[in-house]
Amino acid sequence: MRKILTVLLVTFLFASAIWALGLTGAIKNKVKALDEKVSERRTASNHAPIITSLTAATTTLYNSESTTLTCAAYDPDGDPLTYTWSPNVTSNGQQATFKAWGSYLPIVSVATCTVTDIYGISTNTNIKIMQDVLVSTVIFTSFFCNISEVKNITPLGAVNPEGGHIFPIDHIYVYFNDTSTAHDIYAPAAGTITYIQDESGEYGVSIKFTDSLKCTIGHMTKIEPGLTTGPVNAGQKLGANEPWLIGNTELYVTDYGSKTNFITPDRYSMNGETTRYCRSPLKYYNDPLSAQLYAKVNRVGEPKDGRVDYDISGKLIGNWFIEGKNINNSTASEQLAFIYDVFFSTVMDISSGNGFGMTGLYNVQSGAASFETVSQATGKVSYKLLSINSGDLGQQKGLMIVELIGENKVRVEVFAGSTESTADFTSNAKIYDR
Amino acid sequence: MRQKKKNSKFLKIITLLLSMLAVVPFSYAESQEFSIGVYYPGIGFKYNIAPKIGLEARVQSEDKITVLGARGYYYLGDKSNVTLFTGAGLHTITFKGDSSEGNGTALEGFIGGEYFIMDSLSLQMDMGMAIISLLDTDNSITESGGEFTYGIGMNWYFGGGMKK
Repeated sequence: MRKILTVLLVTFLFASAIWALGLTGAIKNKVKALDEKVSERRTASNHAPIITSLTAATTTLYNSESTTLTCAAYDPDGDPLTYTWSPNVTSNGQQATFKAWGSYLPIVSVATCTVTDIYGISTNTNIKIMQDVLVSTVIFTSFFCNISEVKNITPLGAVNPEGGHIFPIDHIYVYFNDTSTAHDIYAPAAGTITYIQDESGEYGVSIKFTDSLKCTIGHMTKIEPGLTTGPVNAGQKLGANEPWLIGNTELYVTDYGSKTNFITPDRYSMNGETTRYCRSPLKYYNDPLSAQLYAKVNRVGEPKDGRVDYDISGKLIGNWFIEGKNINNSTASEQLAFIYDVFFSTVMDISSGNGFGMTGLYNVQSGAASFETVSQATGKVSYKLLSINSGDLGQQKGLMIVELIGENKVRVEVFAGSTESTADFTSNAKIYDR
Repeated sequence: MRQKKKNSKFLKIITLLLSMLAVVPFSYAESQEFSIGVYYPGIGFKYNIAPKIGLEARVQSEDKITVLGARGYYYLGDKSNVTLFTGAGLHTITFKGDSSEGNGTALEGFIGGEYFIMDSLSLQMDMGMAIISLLDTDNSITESGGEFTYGIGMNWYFGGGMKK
């Protein structure tokens, strides 16, 4: 009896190690094998859902507006579909609601809809929703210095290649009549001082008026005692400029509702934000202050506000970077601009860094092709680089040849010291884009 | 929906069968030929129709697999408290896997033994081979083949123990 029991137990233990427990255990193995066969069949014969459209009631939102997104899709196999949306929308099956969160600057959000069949095969598509910002309606009630002391105002768009400003400058400069006395600087409107910069005696004050509008006043040589970050009143004294220390004072306005024409605005992110969202400070004044200020603008021709964004896609005019660079990772020698003069609105200027051994701002010869007319169809164009200095005004300092080789790609070469009218490209030519 | 109906029908059959079998113990309790067994993973009702032959109805369920069927036992002999047996069984299957769903059958042959702890209580062990055929009803895909099985359980004999 013991032998029988022992044999049974040993056999049983051996069996339990490799065999299925109970008939259901054996069936489980078969079900698993069948699962695999069914999955393979489905994978082989199933088709992914097809999204025919993903639309938005409106693709541009302001403040905290909402829009309804609708996804239309079908399954070629007729399978039931489920719709899932990216976390930034509130889903309701085929429809979803996208709500802007009132960003202070324009941003593009992407909403994604994923359509999945009952076998887990999915397809997705995106839609871009612009959360836009309107130009600020804030009115400046005080100029940032006494208008009566102002000699003139240089509007947006000045350049200073020798000082590293190749591209048109995104702030205005104010020059004073009396350069031997200090001139008080004031807050142009009520707001909040967010930053006081102190660089070895050169001060700057940043004021936020709304989430989307701020200004910075720079080139101050004195800061008002006790001035600190926090609320500030319109016309409140911030400090002073002493022209014998710094010859002018400057005012930036950054309005995130402002639209500039740069071909690739993202190339003006971070350090370029004041350029990307730059707007003439003079636009925030009403008459009579406005008229008094525009009367001080040192520019012949329109627009009196000047401009920084001359870019036109497919044309030579505007700003260029050495291929692949942007405002944050390029040096002055990797930037080039074909623009109109800040003081004479019909005079063509070429602003060049030291990329070709010639740093400076140059006029071009009379009758030269206007920058805004030069396209790929034009072919190679030659510009004589003429001095703008009073000592040798108009004297040719070199020759630049350019050729658009793409919608927004240009080949450029400069022959420093050349007095020729044209030349052929050599291996020294450089490629710029934007 | 179709599967729900199928399950509902199946449950009705099981309930009816169990109800019928549930009254058997009272009818045959005195005959000492009837036993109820608890096996992994299910229960069975066995009736010995002859000294060496027993018939059993079994219901088993595990992981969305339900097995309903019958087993026939042939008792090979006994020594002391151990009774050896062999037999065969035929079962119907309904199942739902991760991807598949359907029904099938299982035909099994087995050999094993019962060890009587008491006159009315025995431990049962058996092992064997089952030929299983499954059909995924939605896709008409089949899976068939043999599987080795082993089982354990306990039997309670009504009326004082199995006649030997």
